[in-house]
Amino acid sequence: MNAEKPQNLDENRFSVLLKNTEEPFNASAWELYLAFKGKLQPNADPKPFRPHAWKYFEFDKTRTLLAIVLGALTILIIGLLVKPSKPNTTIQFTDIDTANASLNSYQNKNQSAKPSPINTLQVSNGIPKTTENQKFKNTKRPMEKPISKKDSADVKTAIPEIIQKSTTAEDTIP
Amino acid sequence: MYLCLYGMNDVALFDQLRKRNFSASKVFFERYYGRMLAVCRRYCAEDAEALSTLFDLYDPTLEYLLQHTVESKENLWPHLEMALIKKLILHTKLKGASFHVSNTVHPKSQNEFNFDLFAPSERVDFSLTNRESLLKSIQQLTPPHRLVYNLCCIDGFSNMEVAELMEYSLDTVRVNLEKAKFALFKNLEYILTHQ
Repeated sequence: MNAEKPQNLDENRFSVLLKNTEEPFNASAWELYLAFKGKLQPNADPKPFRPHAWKYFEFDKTRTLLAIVLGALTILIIGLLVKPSKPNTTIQFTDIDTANASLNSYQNKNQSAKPSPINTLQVSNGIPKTTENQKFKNTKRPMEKPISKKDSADVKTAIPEIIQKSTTAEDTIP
Repeated sequence: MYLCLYGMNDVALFDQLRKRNFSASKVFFERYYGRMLAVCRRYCAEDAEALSTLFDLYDPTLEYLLQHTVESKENLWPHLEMALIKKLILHTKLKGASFHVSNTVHPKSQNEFNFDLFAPSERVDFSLTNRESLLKSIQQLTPPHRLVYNLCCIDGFSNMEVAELMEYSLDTVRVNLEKAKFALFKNLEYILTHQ
């Protein structure tokens, strides 16, 4: 690094040689530039003059599709995370009369459609009326005992409670 | 409209550039292509690299020019040159590892290994230096040396301005400039003796 500067070296001439110089013009420079940038469109006219910048807005399909998919996914995830709350199964009757009235109306409605559990029990313990029961007359039936008076009384008290539960869960009481 | 752009002066052309006119961008590129390429050639290591660098930096340079040039639009070239130099500095510094590779002399055969960097250079006639030989010797400098030499000696910035532009300390600029000058003389000497 201790080499001396040559005496016949004129540094000031260097800036004159290189400053404000110009390379020869290349006619295909713009096409080269467009090709380099990936914007080349052969035989394409230049874009018309458009003074307002907002007119340059172009609809981006990929971004829009991505936004739609992401939105749908978020809605789905929120729907899975937030479960609907369970309906209140217990109904507290303030008035005993309205409760009994609703229970009786439900019983009357169901009795006309199909036999109540009480009737089926009575039939099974009593004399079989249908021909189908006669087929199984001589066969052994497991766990078929005659219901005592005490049991029948319990069943009669228990069934309205079951019916009440079913009414509260399924039907709407006016 | 497209043909009218070629006849426009810099003020009208600059207004069209502000309106994002694509044709004006083309006319502007063709008008200053030669000068911009000349600047890129002395800031890059090869001519091909200079061309690709110009293509890379044309858009950001134009954007910088549109954002920062408000007054004195009669002659756009000084503003454009300054914007291009700033972008070239960033571009050179962002090259990473290649920025620090030292290559003062490129020996091409086994005999040329004996080239002595510290040999006296009295025999070389530097008056024969022409533009191409000088450009080639500058291109053979390392990127930081090339940057500092171009900014200080060719473009005429002071050491302090170069330190601010390159975000270096003043001492770093001085040391780099001395090394760059020494390497440039040796490169020039080598080129002139082997012409």
